[in-house]
Amino acid sequence: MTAPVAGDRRGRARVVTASLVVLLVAVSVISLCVGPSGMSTAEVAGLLSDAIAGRFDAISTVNHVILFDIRVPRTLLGALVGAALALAGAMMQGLFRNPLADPGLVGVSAGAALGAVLVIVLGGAFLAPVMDFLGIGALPIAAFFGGLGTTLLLYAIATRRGQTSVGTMLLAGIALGAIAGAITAYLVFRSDDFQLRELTFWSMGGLGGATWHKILLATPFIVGVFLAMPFTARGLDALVLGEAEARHLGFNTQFLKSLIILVVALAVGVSVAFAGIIGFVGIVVPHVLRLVIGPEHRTLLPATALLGATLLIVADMICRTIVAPAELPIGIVTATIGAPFFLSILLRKRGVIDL
Amino acid sequence: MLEVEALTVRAGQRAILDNVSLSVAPGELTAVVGPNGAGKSTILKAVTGELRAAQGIIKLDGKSLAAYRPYELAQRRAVLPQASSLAFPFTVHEVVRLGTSGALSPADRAARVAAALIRVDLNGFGGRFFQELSGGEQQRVHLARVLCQVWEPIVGGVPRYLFLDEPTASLDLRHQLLTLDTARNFARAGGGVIAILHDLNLAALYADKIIVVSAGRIAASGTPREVLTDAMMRAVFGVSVHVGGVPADAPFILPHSAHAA
Repeated sequence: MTAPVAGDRRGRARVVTASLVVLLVAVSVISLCVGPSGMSTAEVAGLLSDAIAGRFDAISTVNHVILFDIRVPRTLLGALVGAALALAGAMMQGLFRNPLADPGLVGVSAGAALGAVLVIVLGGAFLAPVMDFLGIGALPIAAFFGGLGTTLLLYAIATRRGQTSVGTMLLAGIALGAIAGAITAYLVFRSDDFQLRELTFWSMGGLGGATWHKILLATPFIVGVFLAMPFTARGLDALVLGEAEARHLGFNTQFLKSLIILVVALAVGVSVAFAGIIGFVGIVVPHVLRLVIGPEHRTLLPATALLGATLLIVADMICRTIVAPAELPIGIVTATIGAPFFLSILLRKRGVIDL
Repeated sequence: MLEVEALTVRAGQRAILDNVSLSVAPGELTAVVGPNGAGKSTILKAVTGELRAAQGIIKLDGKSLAAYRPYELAQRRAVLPQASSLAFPFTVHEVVRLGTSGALSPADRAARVAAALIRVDLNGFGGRFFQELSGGEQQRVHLARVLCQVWEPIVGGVPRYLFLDEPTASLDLRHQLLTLDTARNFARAGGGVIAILHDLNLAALYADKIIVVSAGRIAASGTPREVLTDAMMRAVFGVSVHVGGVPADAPFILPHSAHAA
């Protein structure tokens, strides 16, 4: 181990990342122990060790359902969605060179939700042939394209000659979000009771619907998002200097930007498809980590994924317990934590937003 | 050798550059001077590959610029931007490290960063936040980053190039001299340097060759003595001046006899 170099925060990043791994594991275990059934920690530990040892006949059906069909998939979905949302936020902020860019704030989530709602409401009607062809994948795919379309539009509107205007980006994001929201609202208006119940879930977000089936469906997409990290990290650092500077440093910026937009849309699309709209994770997590380990994406991105996963699992635990046996929509919790955070960044960076 | 032939760049109907030809030889410091809006920055943007919508031929060491991949170009030339702000709290060390090659070991990269910071007179600034530095200090951090990118002026017999867009713009006199010393040393060691300069005295002092740009055309080109004439000053800069003349009653500071203390 060499002496730390002034200004080199990679050593600290390694320590923080290792701590975040431990924290994620700890929070996941706690999450498995929390719930309205009143199962004790010791019981959960016993069940887990039974399962690991392969003694499945020793587990009662009720316990099996509670732990392995409800809590485990729910915790896993929370981890996947939290990691994806936080990563999408970090990458989008790097792309737009602004710490305030968040898929939820600038309409990308609304676009993804529109895609999902289109499938729910029109899936039985004239989209039926498409639905039959895509099957269960229709929902995430529609959400992906909804998110992709919004991100592309937003980038095209906010960027002129390689310079992204922050004010334009935020305002265009509000407008795009409003358009997507209006169409969504219209679809909700003309939907039937069954669809309505499904739709309510989207608007507020939640991990309540987690099943193994959804986990299996979401995992390949989110693994794809994780795989993009090493290919985008150095390029994102260079982009912070500006687009021309990134090209001068040898990066194919056009390819880089396309890849980032694609990955952000993928992460948001899958998250929205399986957990609804959950805001502010993408803004809080990268911002906190930048303060602690610095903004270099090679270390920021993995740490962001870990802390995002942890944060969403914690938020979900709060939802499940605070009004038990009822459940709070998770969007309420993340917004309560995230919105004041956003305001605090805004207050300190007021000069950056020159409208 | 950087060669530009018949370069024309248009913005709408107006030609920003009209049939410009020039060359930058390795081993030399070439200064580009001219009044505001003459097209100096456009020339730099074209030869760095930033500006694609250009007519004409641009060749770097015999090969068309467009035929280079971005990473190949990055290994051959580095570009110092005029001003560049950062949205995120990078330390000086982290910014400079962006210029170092990923092929180096972490220890070598750290050593390279430290050496580059010494060269731009920012020794010990590695741990400072880039955003908290003054404009002139920020510019020198970028110079250090750019130096890291093309650390050896010649690699395997192939020269490398430094493209500097007003490298002295926000610097005090001492650091103007230091910066141009660094650029000239780079050229003396076999690399090529093209720098946009506003200060004609500095251009006269450091450049092996001066290219005068006026209204999108090359107005003059040659050694400082050939180019900086009373006639050129009047025709291009619209200033009636006696080159080499000494003001009679006002104090003046000439960098010609100065060197950084």
